[in-house]
Amino acid sequence: MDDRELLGLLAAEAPAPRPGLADEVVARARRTRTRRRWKAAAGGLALAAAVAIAVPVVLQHESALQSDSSAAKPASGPLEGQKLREKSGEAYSLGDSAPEALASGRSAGSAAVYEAAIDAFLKEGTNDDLRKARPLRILDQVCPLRGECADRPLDRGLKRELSERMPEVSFVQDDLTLDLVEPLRLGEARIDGDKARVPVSGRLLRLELSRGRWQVVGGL
Amino acid sequence: MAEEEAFRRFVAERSAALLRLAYLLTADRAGAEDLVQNALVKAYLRWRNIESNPEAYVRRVLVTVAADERRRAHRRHETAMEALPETVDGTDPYAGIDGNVRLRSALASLPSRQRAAVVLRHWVGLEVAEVAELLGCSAGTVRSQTLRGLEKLREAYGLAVEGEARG
Repeated sequence: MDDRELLGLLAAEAPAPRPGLADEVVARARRTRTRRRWKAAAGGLALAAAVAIAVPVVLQHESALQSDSSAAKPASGPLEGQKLREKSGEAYSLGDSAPEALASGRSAGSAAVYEAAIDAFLKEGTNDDLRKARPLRILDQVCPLRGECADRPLDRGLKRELSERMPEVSFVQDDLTLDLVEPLRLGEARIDGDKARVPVSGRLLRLELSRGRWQVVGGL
Repeated sequence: MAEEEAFRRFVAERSAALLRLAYLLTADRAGAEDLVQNALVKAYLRWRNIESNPEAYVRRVLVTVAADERRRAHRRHETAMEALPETVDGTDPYAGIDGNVRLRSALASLPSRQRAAVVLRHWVGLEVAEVAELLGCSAGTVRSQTLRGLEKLREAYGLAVEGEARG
């Protein structure tokens, strides 16, 4: 008996092909192909999501660094009021906030909502003193509708955009009352499509987007 | 569609031979079926590239996977043993009934690469250089592995014949 015959004895014990073998294989291969495609798509989505998150963060960080360097000059500027505030440590420029400050969850784009809410709040009859006060002081802490403010600064992007929109604004770290006027306290805005709610100094203002502008519709 | 038809034809015509080869490579019926099915799935997914010689591709997959002893042992929770599991001195009552039992045991006890060398050289009929290329080793290794493997198989079959004659 030669070697091939020897192996042939064993090969004869091999299982016979199952009748539906080709169908099983094709079905499995199709499932594998579909799974691979899903994996590739999921990988692409994950990459896109990572880029979508990373790029704005990097851009925001870069612009914050730029504003830090540009804000250093006005801080030593000739304005008397500015000097006084620097001495007392009462107010600070945007770039002075700690770099590790946590984002409050608001994007800089929500500044329009805050601006409309602050404007409406100041126009309200009982806030005359606050409206006339210059600078308009805003407490740099995330404040709930009721209770104590969180030890968490306002979003850096929001402050920057609000400063651009409202030059009279100054963010302060202490909620000291100056000339009988308390600093404005802002809470986290809830924006849902064309509706928004913003806590401003203990009031929850309701706003709606109308013709591209946010308008307060209740809460005053 | 034409591709799928060609693939189905290939499976219909060659699956029996592939199962025999897989069984010789694994010495395990269930393992052989799994091995062939996995190899065919891979072949289907690459059919466009391998259509000219699908059998060579499937054979390569079978050999590569079967020769990976550690993976196979892990999957089956088994460990290859040097000694044959049964003897013919009366402790294996089936040895006298089935003359192939010891041959089968001998095949199963061969290290997977030695088994692959024997099967590819003497069952498939590949040249030593082709076997060496498939297994990723030298021609000398193929020769020595084939020699040792065949010795064990012959010895086992001889004992089986002797046992059968006694029984």
